[in-house]
Amino acid sequence: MYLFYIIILPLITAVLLRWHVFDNKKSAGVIACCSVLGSFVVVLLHTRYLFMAGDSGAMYFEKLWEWKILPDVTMPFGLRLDAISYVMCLLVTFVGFLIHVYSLGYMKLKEYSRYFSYLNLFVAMMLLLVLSDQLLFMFIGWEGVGLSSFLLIGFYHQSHKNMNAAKKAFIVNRIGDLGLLLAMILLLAIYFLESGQFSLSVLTLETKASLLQAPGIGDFTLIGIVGVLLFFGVCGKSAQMPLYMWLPDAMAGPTPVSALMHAASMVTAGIYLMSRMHFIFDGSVFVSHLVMWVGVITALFGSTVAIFQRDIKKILAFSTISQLGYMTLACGIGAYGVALFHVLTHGVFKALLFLSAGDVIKACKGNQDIYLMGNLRHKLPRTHVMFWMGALSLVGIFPLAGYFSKDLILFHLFTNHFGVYLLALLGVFFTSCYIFRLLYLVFYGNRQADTNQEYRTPITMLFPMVILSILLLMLGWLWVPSFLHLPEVLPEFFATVLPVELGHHLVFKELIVGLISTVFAATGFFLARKFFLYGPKADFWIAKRYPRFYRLLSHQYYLDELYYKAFVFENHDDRDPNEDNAFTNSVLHVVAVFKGLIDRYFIDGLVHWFAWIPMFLGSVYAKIQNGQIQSYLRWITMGSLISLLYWFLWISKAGQ
Amino acid sequence: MPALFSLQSYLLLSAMLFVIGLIIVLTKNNAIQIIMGIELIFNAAAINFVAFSCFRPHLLDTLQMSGQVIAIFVIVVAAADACAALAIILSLFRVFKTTRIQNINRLKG
Amino acid sequence: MFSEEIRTMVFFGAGMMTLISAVLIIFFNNLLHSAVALFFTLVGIAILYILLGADFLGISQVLVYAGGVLVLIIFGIFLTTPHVDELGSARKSIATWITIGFGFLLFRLLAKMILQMPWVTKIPQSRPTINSIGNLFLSKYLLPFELISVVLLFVLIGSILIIRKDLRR
Repeated sequence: MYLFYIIILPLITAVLLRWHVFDNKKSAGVIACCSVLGSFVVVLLHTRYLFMAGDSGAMYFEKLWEWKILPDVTMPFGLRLDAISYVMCLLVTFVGFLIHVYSLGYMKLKEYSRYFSYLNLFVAMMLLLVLSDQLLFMFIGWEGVGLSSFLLIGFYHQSHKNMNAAKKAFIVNRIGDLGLLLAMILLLAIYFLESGQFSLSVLTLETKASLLQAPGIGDFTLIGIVGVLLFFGVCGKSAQMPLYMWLPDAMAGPTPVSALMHAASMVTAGIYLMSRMHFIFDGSVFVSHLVMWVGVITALFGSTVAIFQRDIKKILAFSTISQLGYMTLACGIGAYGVALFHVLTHGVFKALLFLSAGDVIKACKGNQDIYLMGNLRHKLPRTHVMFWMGALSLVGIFPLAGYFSKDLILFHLFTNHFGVYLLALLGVFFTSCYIFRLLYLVFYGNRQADTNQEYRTPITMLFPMVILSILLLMLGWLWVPSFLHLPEVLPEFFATVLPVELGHHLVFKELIVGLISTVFAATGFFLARKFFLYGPKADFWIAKRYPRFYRLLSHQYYLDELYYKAFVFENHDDRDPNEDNAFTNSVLHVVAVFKGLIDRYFIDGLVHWFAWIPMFLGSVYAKIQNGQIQSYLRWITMGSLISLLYWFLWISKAGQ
Repeated sequence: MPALFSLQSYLLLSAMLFVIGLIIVLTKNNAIQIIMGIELIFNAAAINFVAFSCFRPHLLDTLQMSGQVIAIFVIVVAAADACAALAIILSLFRVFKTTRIQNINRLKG
Repeated sequence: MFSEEIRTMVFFGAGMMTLISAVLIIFFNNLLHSAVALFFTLVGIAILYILLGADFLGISQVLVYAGGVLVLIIFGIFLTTPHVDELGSARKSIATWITIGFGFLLFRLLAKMILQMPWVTKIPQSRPTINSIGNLFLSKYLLPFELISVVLLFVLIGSILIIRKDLRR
C-alpha cells in the first residue's frame, strides 16, 4: 500500500479547494471531510504492516525518492510508519475529520473553499511532519503547519487584531525554528563528516548517536548543544515558556481551528519531535533537566494565569499551554511514551472542550466573555454533559482518559523527582480551579446569559463532540496501571520504538499517587464550586482584597507586555504617548540609526563605488569620441609615434 | 653631415616636409587646408623615393629608375586623392554650409 | 667643375624655398595665401627633382601637381568659402601646441634615424630618364600602371557621383 496517499489526499484537496474547484458550501466541506476521512482509512489499512515486520520492531518504511543534491550526494525521502507516527496519524486524521464535520455546522461564511482548503492543508502538513523519515522533510511539514496556522488564525483577515495575532504566531514559531534549523545543520554536518552520507534519517541518527557524545563547546557535549537547539524549536512550536505568547492570541481564529491546531495537532508537533529524537535528550543530563524545568514552569504558569481570565477561549488556550508543559515535563524525565499518551488524551479532551466552547459561543451570539454567561446548562444540556466530561478528564478523574495519562506522568515524577512532583501536583490543583471556575461560570449561576433563543446545536456539531466523549471513556484503558494486570496495549506498542518502562510497579505507589492527585483535583473542584457557583462575584472580591496579585495574574504576569516593549519597535504615529518607555525606545533608536549608517555608507557604498568605476572610465573614454576628426588623427599619430619611439629606442638598440 | 648635397639632407628635407604636412593636417581648421597638408605629405614621401633611387642606383641594376616610377605613381595617386577629397568636401559644404571641420562632428559619441 | 658648388647652392636655395613655403602654409590664415605658398613648395620640390637628375619627374611634378592639383584646390577654395580671409586659421588651443611639440619629436626621431644610418651613396648622374621610366612602366611596373589608370577612372566617376545634385528630387 502506499503511505503517501495519506499526505497527498488532503494536500490535493487543499489545492483544489483553494482554486475554488468546489465552491458550494456543502460540496467544499463534504469533500474536505472525505479527504481527511480517506487519510484516516489509509492509515488504518496500513495497520497490518506494523505488526508483520517481526524483528525490526513494527515499522513500515516506504521510500519515495532519492533527492539528488550533488552527483554523489543523495538524500532519500521516505515515509515511515512506526508506533509513534501511527498513533499521531490516527490522532490527527481522526480528530481532524471530526473537526471538519464540526466546521460544517459551526462556520457561517460567505465562501467555504478557503477555510476548508486551509484546514486540509494543515492536516496534510501535519501528516507530512509526522510521517517523514528525514528531519529535513519533517521540517517542511513543520514550517507547513506554521504557515497553515498563520493562514487559519488570520482567517478573518479584515481585522488588524487577527492579523497581528497570526503574525505573532508565525514569527514566534519562526524564532523557534531557528533553533531547529541550527540543530539540523549541526547533525547533518556531524554525520556527513563521519560517514560521508547526507542523511537526517532518524534511524541513521539514532544508530550513530554515540558520535554526539563528543565534546562541543566548553563543557557541553555536542549532544547537549543539539538538544538545546532542538528544544528551542520545540518551545516555539509547543508554546513553552519563552515562546508561549502566540497561543493566547491565536484564539483570534475560528474555534474549530483552535480545536484542531492548538489542542490536538500543531502544538503537539514539538512533543513528537522530542520523542523522535529521544536519544538526543537521553544523551545529555543537562538538556533533560532543562526540558523538565521548562515544562514544569510552563505548566504552573499556564494554570495560574488561566484562573482569572475572562475569555473562554483564552482560558482553554492557557490550559493547553499548561498541559503541554506536562507533556514536556514527561519528555524531560525520559517518559516519552507517557508524553505521547498524554498527547493523545489531551488531543481528545481539549478538542472536546474547545468544541463545546464553540457551541456555547454560538449560543451566546458570538460572545466569549464568561462574565456575561451563565445558566446555560438548561439551554445546552448535551454540551453541558460533554463539558463536564472534558473537564473531569482534564483534571484527571478516573475512569476518564485524562486520569491515566496524567497519572502516569505524576507517577514517574513521584519516583524520580519528588520536588518536581510537588510542583506538578500544585499544577493539578490550579488546573482544577480554572476549569471548574469556567464550568460553573458558564453553565451555572442565576444570571441568564444573553442567548439566541432558537439555537439548537446542529447535528454536525454534536456528532463530533459525542464521538470524542465516547473516545474519552475508552482511551484511557490503553495504558493501565500495571497493578490491574490488564493488557498494556500502548506501552508495549511504544516500546518498539521508544525506551518505555513496562509494568512492574508497586501497587502501593501507584494507588497512592492516583489518590493524591484526585484529592488535589477535588480540592480545586470544591473551591471553584464554592466561589463560582453563583457567578463571578468571587473574582471581584479577590480583585479588591488582593489587587496586585489579581492584576499580576490576569495580565499574564505582564510577560506579554514585557515582550512587546522589548522587541516590538512601533510606528510612531499610532503609539500611545502615555505608554512611552523612553529608555527602550531610545536604545532601539540608536541601534536603528547605527544600522542605517552602516547600511547606507558601507553596504550601499560598496555597490555605489563599484558602479562608479566603470561610469568614470566610460566618461573618460567618451570624451575621446568627440566627433572631431583632427582629434582622432592626433590620437592616432600620438599612438604611432609612441610605438615608433618604443621600437627605435628599445628594440633597435637592443639589437645593436 | 659633411656635404650639403647628400642623401641625408634630402631625407631630412623630406622628413621636415612630412612633419609640417602632418602639423597642417592636425592643426588647421579648414578642410581645404587639410588637403594641402595631405599633398605635402605625399610629396615628402615621393622625395624620399626619388632621393633613394638617385643616390643609391647600384641597388637595382636595371631598375635604377624604380624610385622615380614610384614617385610618378605617388603623384597620380595624390592627384586622384585630392580630387576625391574635394568632391567630398564640396558635398559636405552643401550640407553643413561650412568647411570648418570642427563643425562637422556628427560622428560624436 | 663648378657644378658642385652651383649644385650645392641651388640645392640650398631650393630647399630653403620649399621649407619656408611649407612653414608659411601653416602660418597664413588666408586660404589663398596658403595656396600660393603651396605652389612655391611644389615648385621648389620640382627643382630638387631636377637637381637629382630626375628630369621627367620634375616636369611632371610641375605639370600635374602645381598645374593640376593646385588648381583643383584653388577651385575648391573658391567654391566653398564666402570669405577667404580667416578661414584658414589653426586651432587656438593648447592642442595645437602639443601637436607641434609632437611634430618636433617626430622629426627629431626621424632625423636621428636618418643620421645614424651609414649610407653608401653615389653622386647622381644626370642623363635622360624618360626612356628608362617608359621601359619600366611597360615591364616591371606594368600592372601598377594599368591599375593606376583604372584608379583614376574610378576616382573620376566616384567624385562626380559624390558631387552631383540629385536631379530626381
